[in-house]
Amino acid sequence: MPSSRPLTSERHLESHQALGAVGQKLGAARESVVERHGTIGQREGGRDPLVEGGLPARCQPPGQYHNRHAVSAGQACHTHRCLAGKALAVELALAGDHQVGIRQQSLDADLGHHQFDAGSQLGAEKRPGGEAHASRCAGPGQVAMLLAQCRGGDVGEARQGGIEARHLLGCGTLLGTEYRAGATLAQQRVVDVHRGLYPQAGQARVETGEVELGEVGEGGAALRQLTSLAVAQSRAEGRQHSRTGVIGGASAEGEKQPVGTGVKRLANQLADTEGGAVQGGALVGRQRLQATDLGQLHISGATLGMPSPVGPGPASQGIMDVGGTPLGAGGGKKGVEAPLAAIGQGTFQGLDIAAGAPRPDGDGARRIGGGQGILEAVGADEDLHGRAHSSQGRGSLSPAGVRQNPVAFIPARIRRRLPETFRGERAMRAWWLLLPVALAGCQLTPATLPEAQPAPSAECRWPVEPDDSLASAVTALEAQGFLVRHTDVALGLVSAELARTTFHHHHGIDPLPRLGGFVLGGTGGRLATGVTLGIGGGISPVVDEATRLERVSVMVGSQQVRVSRDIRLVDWRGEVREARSASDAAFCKALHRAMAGMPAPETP
Amino acid sequence: MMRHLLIAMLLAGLAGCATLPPSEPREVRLAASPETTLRVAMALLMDRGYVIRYADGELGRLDAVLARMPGYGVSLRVVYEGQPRRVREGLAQDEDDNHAPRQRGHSQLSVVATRRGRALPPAVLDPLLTDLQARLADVRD
Repeated sequence: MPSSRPLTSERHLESHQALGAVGQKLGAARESVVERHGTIGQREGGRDPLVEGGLPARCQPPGQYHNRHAVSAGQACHTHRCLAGKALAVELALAGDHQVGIRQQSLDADLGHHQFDAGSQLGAEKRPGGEAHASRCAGPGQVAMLLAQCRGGDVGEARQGGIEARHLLGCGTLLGTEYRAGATLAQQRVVDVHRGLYPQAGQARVETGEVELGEVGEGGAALRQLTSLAVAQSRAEGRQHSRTGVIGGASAEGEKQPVGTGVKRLANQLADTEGGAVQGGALVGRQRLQATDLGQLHISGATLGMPSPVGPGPASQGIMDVGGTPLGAGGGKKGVEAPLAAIGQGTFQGLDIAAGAPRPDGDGARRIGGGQGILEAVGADEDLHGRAHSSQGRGSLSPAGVRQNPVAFIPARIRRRLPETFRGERAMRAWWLLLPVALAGCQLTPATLPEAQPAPSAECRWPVEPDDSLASAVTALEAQGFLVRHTDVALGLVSAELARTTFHHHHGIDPLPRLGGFVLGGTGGRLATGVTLGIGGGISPVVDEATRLERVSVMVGSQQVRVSRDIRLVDWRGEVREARSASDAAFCKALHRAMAGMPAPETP
Repeated sequence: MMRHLLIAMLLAGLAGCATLPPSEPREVRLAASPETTLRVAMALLMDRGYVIRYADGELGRLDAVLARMPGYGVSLRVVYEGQPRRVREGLAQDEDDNHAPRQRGHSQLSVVATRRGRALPPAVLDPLLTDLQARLADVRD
């Protein structure tokens, strides 16, 4: 890193004063906040000049984020910085030295200490591990501006080599990995976090994190940063829009994409930079920014190579409005009213619109929209990440929330109506229990074609003998009472069946009479018999009249004779009560003999 | 609450079978005449305990049933493949030198297995068809 100027709380105060209106309007700045800033500045000043502007933000506990995302890695950073990092970590790549010069002026006007250095363009790569590091791109003559203009901090020079996002942001998070993919989808807008970004992703779920901004007055610098970032982003969007949609698109290729895409646009972007006049968003004290994802910020960053011509300076101008009224328009552009509070999901769509702006110079409103979106994007990194991954084909599409909640797929509207029992923790388990129930419906489908159990007896297949013919088979079957239903001489097949009326008893017991009884008795030498009728008790099994259907097929082939047989019991309703394969040895032997002209043996 | 639970379970259970994909016949192309194919298939099915209810070599049809609850069935349809009908009828045998000598043709076999009248997934027929092909190869030799 180039020379770094440690910031002190005093310097911060100075910058605030320079801003003037901000501090006054805001009123008394809380000391605590100031102190915070001061401390932050001091700490970081030693290390990262760029980062110094850290926002007094409450970082989310590290555990909440997936560390995959470099940005989200809360542990690495100071808590204070995390927010700043997320929100602010925007890397702006400026091309051309002259541009830089302009920028500097503006910056100076506002902040007074910002220095822009021309360096190599920064490319942020996302590592599998989730850490983003800036890789250097070979973009000729490009200047990477690290936008992390902290209040009072100097922008710092970008290293010629790859710059690590951490350093830049101070939080160790580089914004921008997310959007990298964008190049592929040239025309699409990165900006729309919600949908536009990853069209393929399906439902994008954005988790909102909450970042508390300090009092406006106090946190002035921080706010400034945020706003400026937002502005920058918005501008970037507009620009991209007008020229080539750099941002959108996520694809595996995107990762590997060198900064090249970004480079191409340099000319255009540069041209636009002027338009970059920054609008100040009106910041309302105590407002909460809903953070969504860092990734977006990243986008604007080096990775995409879309230099976001952010006029840091102008941003600072507009920044501080106490009343929530837009302070001013930076660079003579329209002042945009973008109360941070307004950030909401709705804003995302606003982002879309913003993206649609044909010209970067477009009115501030659009940009603001973009900015809002950005701010929103700051917080929740996980989902976007997940989505990005999925879009690249590596991750799973399922949003984090769905993972453990089987009811999640039920629309919220319906889910709300479910009784508590179906929503609670226990109910979750119960829902899982339903899974086997649902699957049980199809459990009976066989995996292979079923065969007879037991297999046909060996006696049911014998080599053809001289006497064996289709005619003898038919004769033998008819002799046993079978009714021939079908024959095919060419194939040597005869199919016959035999039906007998029988009783069907449900319990496998022989049929028993249900009614009636016989009484024998006598008195005084007289003997009498009689029949009494009564209703039997419920003990006796229920017996129905049924039909026993016996089906036989005999195939007299050129070499072998085959017999197969089955028996079905059909009750009087026509329902099959029993069905079994009956290619047993006794029947086949008898048939074999009959076909051979030998009389069936007498059965005792 | 209990009632809701029961309803939910019932619906879930029913849903399990509601999504059975409509099965399509399993189709195989065999290097044997339809009649030979039918003959071999019939032997195979009878060895597995199936009762042949209907078979016609001329029509190329075969229906077999297995009396095992809830009742299974197999239906075969065989047609000549790649030859116009007149070839099969011997009207233009000279056009086909490759097959004419042994009166052997190619046949297109489509098989459907049913369970209680509803078609089963075609995959269940793979073992049977594998055996059929192996047996046909033997028959040819």
